[in-house]
Amino acid sequence: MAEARAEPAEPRPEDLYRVIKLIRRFEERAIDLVRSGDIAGGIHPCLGEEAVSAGICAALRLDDVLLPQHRGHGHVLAKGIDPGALLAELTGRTTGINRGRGGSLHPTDLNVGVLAATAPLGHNGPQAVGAAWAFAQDGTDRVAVGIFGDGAVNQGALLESFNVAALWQVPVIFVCENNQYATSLPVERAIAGSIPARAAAFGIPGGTYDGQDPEIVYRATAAAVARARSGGGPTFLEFSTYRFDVHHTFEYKAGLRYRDADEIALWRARDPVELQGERIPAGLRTQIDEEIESLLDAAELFALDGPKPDPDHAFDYLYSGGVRPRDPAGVRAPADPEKPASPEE
Amino acid sequence: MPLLSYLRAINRALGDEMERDSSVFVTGEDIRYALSNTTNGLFDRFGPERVLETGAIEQAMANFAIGAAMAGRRPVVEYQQPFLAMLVFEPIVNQGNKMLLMSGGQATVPVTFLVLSGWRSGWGAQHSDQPHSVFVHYGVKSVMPATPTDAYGLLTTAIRDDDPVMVFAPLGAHSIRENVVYADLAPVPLGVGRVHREGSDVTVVAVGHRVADALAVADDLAGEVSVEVFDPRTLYPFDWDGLAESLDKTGRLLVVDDSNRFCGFAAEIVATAAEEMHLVARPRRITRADGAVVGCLPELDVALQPCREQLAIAIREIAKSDR
Amino acid sequence: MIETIRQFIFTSLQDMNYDTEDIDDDTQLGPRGADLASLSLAELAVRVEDEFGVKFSDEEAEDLAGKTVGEFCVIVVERLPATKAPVE
Repeated sequence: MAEARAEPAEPRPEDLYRVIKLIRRFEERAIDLVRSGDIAGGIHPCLGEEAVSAGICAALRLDDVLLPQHRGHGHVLAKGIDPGALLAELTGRTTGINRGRGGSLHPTDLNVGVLAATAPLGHNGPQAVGAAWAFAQDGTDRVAVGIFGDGAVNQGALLESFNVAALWQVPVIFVCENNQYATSLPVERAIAGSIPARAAAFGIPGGTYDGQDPEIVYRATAAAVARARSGGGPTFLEFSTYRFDVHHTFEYKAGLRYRDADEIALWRARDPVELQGERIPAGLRTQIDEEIESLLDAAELFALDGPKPDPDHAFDYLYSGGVRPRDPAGVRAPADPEKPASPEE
Repeated sequence: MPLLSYLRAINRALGDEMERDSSVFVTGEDIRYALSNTTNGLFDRFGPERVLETGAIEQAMANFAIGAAMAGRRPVVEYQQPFLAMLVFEPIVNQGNKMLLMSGGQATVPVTFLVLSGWRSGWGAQHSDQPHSVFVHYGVKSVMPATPTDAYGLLTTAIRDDDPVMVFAPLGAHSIRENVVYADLAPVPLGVGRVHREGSDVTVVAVGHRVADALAVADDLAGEVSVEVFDPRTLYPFDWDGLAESLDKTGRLLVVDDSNRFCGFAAEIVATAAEEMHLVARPRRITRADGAVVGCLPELDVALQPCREQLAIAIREIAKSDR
Repeated sequence: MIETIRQFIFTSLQDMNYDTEDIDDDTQLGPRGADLASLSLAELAVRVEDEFGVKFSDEEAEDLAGKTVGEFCVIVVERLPATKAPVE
């Protein structure tokens, strides 16, 4: 547990590059697995936004907690979730971090401080406030970070949570990863006023930063973390970034066209993989790239080798303390008495 | 053996659990001065960080409680009006109650949601709902105590339970008083009902303040029909074994429930009894009307809700019925 | 006199089966304090009327819920018939 409380060292450029590249290649491979049918239900890829994940998590301790939302692979990989266990989760295996029950949208790994990823936009904000409040009540200096997108910034529950975060000086960091689009709705047509000004209206300090540069993201987050740890309360950080690819992989077949090619090209010119890659020696970069490919090769093997869940276990994990819903005749087919029990537990 | 009211029993349970377990805290609106009387004296005893008062930010605070619970606390969230339970239905049902599953068993959410529900005469159409049926439909553990002893016991158990639990405390029960020995007040387990009155002819299932109605009618009909009053106490998970045991004796079922008829709590009991249990007569239910909107005018409210006359008529009919 | 009235209130409450252990002058009679049911408040008013020769209207009896034990004692003293001893 002492390791959990160790303050992270200032990240070296290659450390940030490694995380960014890991996320980039993970997402690209995951998209391949979506196309092959191994990841049912698709994913919300974060291509182009990797620097935000890398920079934020470089400033966090293991025992700080993160609450992402649906576009969370980058966040949780940067926080420390094992890529193999995450891929197993995406491919619906019981060897996944959540035994397949969370999938792409709801990763939790309490060992590395990923608390929960909920779907209703912005609701992770008040959950992060509650967790951070509890940490402060316990007398620790742990912080909680809630990361949501531009689509969440008008959600009532989120705005409500700014109120108590500020009133009670809770050690929480609200992060808006503004990738300019809420699904198909661009920010110009969605958002009145300024994003950080919403939090400022409640007395929460913060600002807008370049989300393509992980070192800028890191410095802004580190300052917010320092404020929170010292009892200075919440911060709101907006990171400007861009979604290089689809909102969700279902778009590959849907044929939605809502973005301008020139706009995409403009942002692709500031690819965080290149931006950070240029900050390290070419030889080191190549080495890191190769290590990541090996790591992901192993992750894929691990994932696809894992068992799928047994339908007899459909009622597991619904309640603590062994309560199970009833399963009277007629709800599902009777269990086959010849079949051996699945070794899931 | 002093008198203890239902409302005071809730207050006592809250205070006792907050004393016993420093991770328990209560949050809600107007709880510092205890507008609803559930939190009388708690602010003075425990201070502003255990009695966390807020303004009207219910969705945030439901989520706040979920987050605090996942971080090791035991929140009790009070809703003085039943429509607030509707407002936070999504965070409770879709987030709090699913976190354990989504996390593959990692994240427990030990939050208690205390809802002061039911008829509030003269307050208009939006303040008198009884929303428990929709919560149990989504598998949220829920209780509705009928007596002060059970109010104390079920709230205590709800707080100690590691899952989200809804505690519905109907206004119609708040001034019920019982003689109690404080030392005998104890947790009541979830999923275990209670027979308030034994009988052999008809099983009347009643919850909350309707238990008193059922007992009063049973008294009136004594000598004519022998009525057994079964109070499940926990709405979900329901004590089906307890109900089956009663129906094995009587074979005749009447359910009285304060929520709406269509797809309501009583429907579940009648359906399951019809599917699985011993019945010699057609089962019946006395409920609010389909989609009832209660609270506009007292004369109309009375027509929309269960009443003792309906119970008496139905019990007599079931007792005589052959099919 | 106030002490006599206070004692009478306590005895009446115990008689009516209410817990008086944590009750003092600042305790309200209704749900915020001694938690008397409305019928019990009415009964208490009647007992006090009979014992001390004072009179309360129906509304006043209802309003007792929000009054503290101490305030109730003062009200009773103020209404005592003239032949009773003055307030100490």
